[in-house]
Amino acid sequence: GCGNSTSENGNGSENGSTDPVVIKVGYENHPGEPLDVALNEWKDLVEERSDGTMMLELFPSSQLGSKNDIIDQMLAGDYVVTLADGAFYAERGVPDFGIVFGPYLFDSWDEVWRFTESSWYAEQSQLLEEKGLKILTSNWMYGDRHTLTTKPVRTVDDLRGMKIRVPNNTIQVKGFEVLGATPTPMALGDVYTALQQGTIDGLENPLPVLYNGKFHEVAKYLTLDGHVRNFTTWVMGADVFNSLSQEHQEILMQTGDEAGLYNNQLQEEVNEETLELFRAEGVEIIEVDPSEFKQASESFYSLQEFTSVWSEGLYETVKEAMK
Amino acid sequence: MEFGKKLLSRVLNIDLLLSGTALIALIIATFSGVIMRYFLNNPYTWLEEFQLWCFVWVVFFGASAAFRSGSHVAIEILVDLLPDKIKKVIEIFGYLVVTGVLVYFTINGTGLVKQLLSTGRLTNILKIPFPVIYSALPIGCILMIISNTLMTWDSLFNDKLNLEGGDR
Amino acid sequence: MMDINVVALSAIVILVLLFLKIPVFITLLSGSVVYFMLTPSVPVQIIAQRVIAGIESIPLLAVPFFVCAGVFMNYSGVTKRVMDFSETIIGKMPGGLAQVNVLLSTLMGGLSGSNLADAAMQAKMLVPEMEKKGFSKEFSSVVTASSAMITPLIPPGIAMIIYGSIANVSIGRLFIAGIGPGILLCTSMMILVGIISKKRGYKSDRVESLSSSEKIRAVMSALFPLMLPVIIIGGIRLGIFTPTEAGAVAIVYSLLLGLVYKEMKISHLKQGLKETINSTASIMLIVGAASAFAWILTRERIPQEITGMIINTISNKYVFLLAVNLFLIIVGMFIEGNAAMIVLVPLLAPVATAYGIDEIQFAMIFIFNMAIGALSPPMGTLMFVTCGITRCKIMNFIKEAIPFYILLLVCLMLLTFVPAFSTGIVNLFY
Ligand code: NA
Ligand code: NA
Repeated sequence: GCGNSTSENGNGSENGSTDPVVIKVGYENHPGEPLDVALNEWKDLVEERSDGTMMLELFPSSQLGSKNDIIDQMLAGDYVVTLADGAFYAERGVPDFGIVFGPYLFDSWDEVWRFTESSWYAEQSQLLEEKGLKILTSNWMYGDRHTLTTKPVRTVDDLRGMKIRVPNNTIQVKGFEVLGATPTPMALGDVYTALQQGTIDGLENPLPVLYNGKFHEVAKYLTLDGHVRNFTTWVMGADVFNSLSQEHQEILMQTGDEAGLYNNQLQEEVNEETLELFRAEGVEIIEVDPSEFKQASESFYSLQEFTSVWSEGLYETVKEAMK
Repeated sequence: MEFGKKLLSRVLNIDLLLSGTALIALIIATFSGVIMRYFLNNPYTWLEEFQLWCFVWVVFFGASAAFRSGSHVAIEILVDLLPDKIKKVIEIFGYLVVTGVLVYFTINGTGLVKQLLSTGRLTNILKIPFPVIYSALPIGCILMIISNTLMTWDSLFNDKLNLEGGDR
Repeated sequence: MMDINVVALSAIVILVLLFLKIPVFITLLSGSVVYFMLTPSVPVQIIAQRVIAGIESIPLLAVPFFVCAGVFMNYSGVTKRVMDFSETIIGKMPGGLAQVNVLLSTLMGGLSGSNLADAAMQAKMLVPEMEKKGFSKEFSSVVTASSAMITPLIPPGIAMIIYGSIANVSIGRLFIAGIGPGILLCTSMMILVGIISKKRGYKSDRVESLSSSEKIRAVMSALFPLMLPVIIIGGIRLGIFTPTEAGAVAIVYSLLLGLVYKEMKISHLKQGLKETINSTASIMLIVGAASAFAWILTRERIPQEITGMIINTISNKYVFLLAVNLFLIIVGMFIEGNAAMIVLVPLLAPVATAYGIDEIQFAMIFIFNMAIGALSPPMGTLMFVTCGITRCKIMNFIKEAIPFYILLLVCLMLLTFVPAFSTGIVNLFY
């Protein structure tokens, strides 16, 4: 994507008739990651489809702030879009959304895409909209989350007592606790050194993030456990979205889905390449029996922490929605 | 008058009390976190969000104490070269800028806290409401305005208030 | 075009107010206030969020921890014992304590990556001792601030981790590459300190050599304090705690020693906490305010646009390197190093590679430039932090720092034109 000169008009307001609407997109991933490449595709599509009356400006590497910061910015009324998933929406007032981050919820990506098309998902999105957040597109693959460790993990038992860095949220903490590991939340910036010195034993994330963080220089075992099929969504403030013209709204959502398909194709290609890179750089790739891990994770869905905030029978409802 | 000053200094030292408590909590949580993780293999999952909470409190409540102890850095050279009368004018102008900026931050910091209040945002693990953490900014700004006003008064009229809180 | 004018106006407001004896953090904030007032499309509460976000960072916790550790070491008698010990070892060397200052930063580099924490701790601990021994306040402050530049170069360092993950360069190699410039800076700075000290007659007031029994006594009495670096480095290497947490461990250890030596009283404890709060607040408010302004520059794509211009107008490798050096020093004056890196590395690193510049060498040039910016006006955080604690006047600091600026520029040119300084050690290892 070679987007032509960026707009000199940074304010995304629709005051003048000639000024294009500028929407800023902030995300954590670095330039060159598949997600960033797909975003550039989205940017081009928006510009092309709207005849230059709407533009996306991309801000990778958390340049506009953390995900939570950007969500607060859009709630305050800024023209900004970010990438977020169920764990975040659970903390923004739609608790049932959190389940999508539960371990081994989806057996295949087909289930994921059927699920995001389901009426249950539409209802939850509506609830989120009432909380001020409008999901633009939900068909983006972020990747299967795998585990990279300093000691080999071949079975669930190997995980016992291992300190695995997880992001700072209850869903991911509990997801590793039920496997017998010791989940250790820690800032991602500290993780490289912590792995090197043995303060922690591993971390989890999709392959591109693991590779770009260079963590494999200090942790040589990659267990392909796929504990979460991580799809993601692009979100914007509902009020800001409603202030756009009907045409712009449609373009934004439609091209978002199109770029999502492009992203998913890219992700699958890059996954293979990344595995090759890991191998070439001396990482042992460990294939495991997912059913053993899945079984060990079942107790997650009956933990009191979650059942007390989730709707009754949520697990069954969700399983039904992905059929 | 003396009694009034004493009372004022007591009230003002609330900022030191709050940030001091946060600092002690920060040190204890971090040190015991090391022990829990390494020796007991049972790390505090809430450590990071608690540390950041304490940090924000230390800084914003400590900020007004730093005004009273004269710890905030400023470039003095140009003003010090000027004759006394102009110096005073600039000092008053500077006071107005400081107060203006802090009022702006008090208002918009309150706006941020109100927004967080209405969206009900909590920290991920301890479920601390964000307004509890971030209200340190608007409150800190108000305390800074008060401390700075006293210090400027002191400097302009040489009425030694001798407020505690400094390390000078 | 309008918003660029607004940003320019904000920058001018900062530069003017900076010289009117207004606290630096207020000056920096006033620039952001101007931007938000003149850009109504950006919701105002974001200004408060950006200041808080600049402070809410785990690696920056090193600041309160190491400041507090430094303060408690002063009250517990740890500093005094270490100073006596250092004097017996290097007492006759010109500029003894100033040399200790430089060496200590190099050693500290082995444990943490925060130059701010390093400068703040040594400004608290070493500068008063240096003044007692006859060094001027300005010289002591400049040595402290400029030697703190070494800290992020010696591994581990957060700058290398960020650079490596953005530019797809091995972090392990970057860690090792930092040792070269780190040692270069340490040695050249010690030589400069030696020359200046000799010229000004900064030397130990001790005339005669110590007897061996006196030497042994000095070592014995400093034994526990000298264990501190051993405990900290050991603890980090064994994975017991992270570099950030090491600061909290240092606090607890110096408190324990304070009890052992019976030199620390409750009143000291209170005073120490107070000092820590005052210094932490004044340091972190500058960091938070600078980070809010950096957010504005990034959002308006100012550094991105200028980088584009540089890339498009230059077509020679060496001109490119010189232009990048100049540009990065200026950027470093306005934007904190790691924030600048996130924005500029993806734009500049591929161009450097296209010119055939080694990726490791370019990383070192980049990181070194950011460090220089932290030392110079208008927004050099290292300079403000040090002067805030030692109460050195900024103008006197800058005057005293001139030989050090020249030294840094010479080192920068060496790094720029002699790749071996950055890649030599890496090639030995890999
Ligand atoms: Na030093
Ligand atoms: Na370091």
